[in-house]
Amino acid sequence: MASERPLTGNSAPGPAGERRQAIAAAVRREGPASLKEQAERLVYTWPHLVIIEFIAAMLMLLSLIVMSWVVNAPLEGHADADKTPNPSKAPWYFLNLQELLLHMHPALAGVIVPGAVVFMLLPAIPYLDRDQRDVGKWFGTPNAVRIAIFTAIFTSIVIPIEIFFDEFVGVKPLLASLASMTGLEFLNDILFNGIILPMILMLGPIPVLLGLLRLRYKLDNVRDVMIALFTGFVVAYFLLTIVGTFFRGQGMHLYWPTDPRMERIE
Amino acid sequence: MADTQRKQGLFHPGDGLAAEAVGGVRVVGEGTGQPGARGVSRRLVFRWLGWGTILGLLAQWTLGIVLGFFWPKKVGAFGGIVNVGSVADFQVGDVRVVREGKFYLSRVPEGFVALWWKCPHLGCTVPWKPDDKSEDSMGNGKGRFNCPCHGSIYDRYGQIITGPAPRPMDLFPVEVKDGKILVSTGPSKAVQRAQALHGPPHVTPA
Repeated sequence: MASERPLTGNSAPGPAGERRQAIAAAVRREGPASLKEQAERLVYTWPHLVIIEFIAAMLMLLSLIVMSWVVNAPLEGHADADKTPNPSKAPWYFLNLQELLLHMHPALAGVIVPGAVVFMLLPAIPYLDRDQRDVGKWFGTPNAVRIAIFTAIFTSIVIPIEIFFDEFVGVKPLLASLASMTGLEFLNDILFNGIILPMILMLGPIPVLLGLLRLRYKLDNVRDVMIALFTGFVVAYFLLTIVGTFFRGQGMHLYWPTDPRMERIE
Repeated sequence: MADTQRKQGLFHPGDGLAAEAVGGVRVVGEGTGQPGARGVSRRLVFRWLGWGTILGLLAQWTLGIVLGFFWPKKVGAFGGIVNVGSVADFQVGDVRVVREGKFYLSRVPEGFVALWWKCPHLGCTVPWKPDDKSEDSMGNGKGRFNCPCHGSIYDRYGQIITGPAPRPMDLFPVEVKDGKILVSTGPSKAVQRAQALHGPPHVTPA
């Protein structure tokens, strides 16, 4: 209210930013905006924004109606509890979760991981990263783009390796043979091979990534860490969706998209 | 004042209002010890009770509907004793699907196991894949169970080999009587097994 700030630009808020603005205003020979000027520049949410949103909603509705005219929903036969279609896949936007379900205890993959991400980790970001500089600016730190690219490459290597490992070696068979070799029966326990080891495999790459980033890019503020972690999450999310959508065929095994075993058997 | 206090309570509607009209303050219910102190009026209590009842009924109704979706539907004619046939019809390594009992009868060297076809992971119907690679020493290297939903793989004992299932496939009790194989079916009959148990005592001898 007291002082007006430009909507764009990268001047930091706080005393330093205000001083810079005051200097800039002095150079341009502008006084602080009068109340009248402010009132002239003020744009109200209603009607200006709400009308635009309303038009957007109507266009969305219209396009949905047109689409439902043109594209028919795939109506299938009666569901048969005696026969599950093979492969049975969730809608595409859930295939990331289904991909997780292939590798660990259902409570971990279906409840704990998504619950922790949606209700704890993502909401925690603004509480952990309380730096006021460049708020709302994408890739606001000097190394942000490089950190994001490095993280994306790292994640795109680690996730396929873990998926291939579970498909072709298998956590359970490996642990079962280890258990029979060493006599350590707990390796066969679902608590270990379904919960503890998958958690180690999911969380373990994170400190490795942060260590590598620290070596390469110093990583001296929380924002950089948050950019790295969030990039890792987004890339993992899309990779899991892509693998689940295009590379999982009959029996939920890995196949190339052109393989005949990608076909669904009713 | 004494008169007002005496007539207060649930069975004297209007007294509070009268007091309010006279004194201009609301009368508190018994027990506060301070007649005339400001607080919850009787009208407010009744209003809360009324709305609370309506909301409570609505909540009960909604909860009942929502919870109803979580209640499994009763499934058909499955729950009795199923006669699978004669012991002589099976050779070691054979797996036969028994649709009416929703299970597979598997002939292993030690005898018979009846495996409920419901995946112990999240409940999909697990198909028998006779041409896939075998996970046990039977069937000339072919045949295993492979869940189509999350890829759990089981051998002829129903033992979990790989995939996310928390335990082996559940068993139905098998009884061999006069050369006939009788299997008790139904969700209440299913026997859950711990991890990694092969052979007896889970196998019924032929």
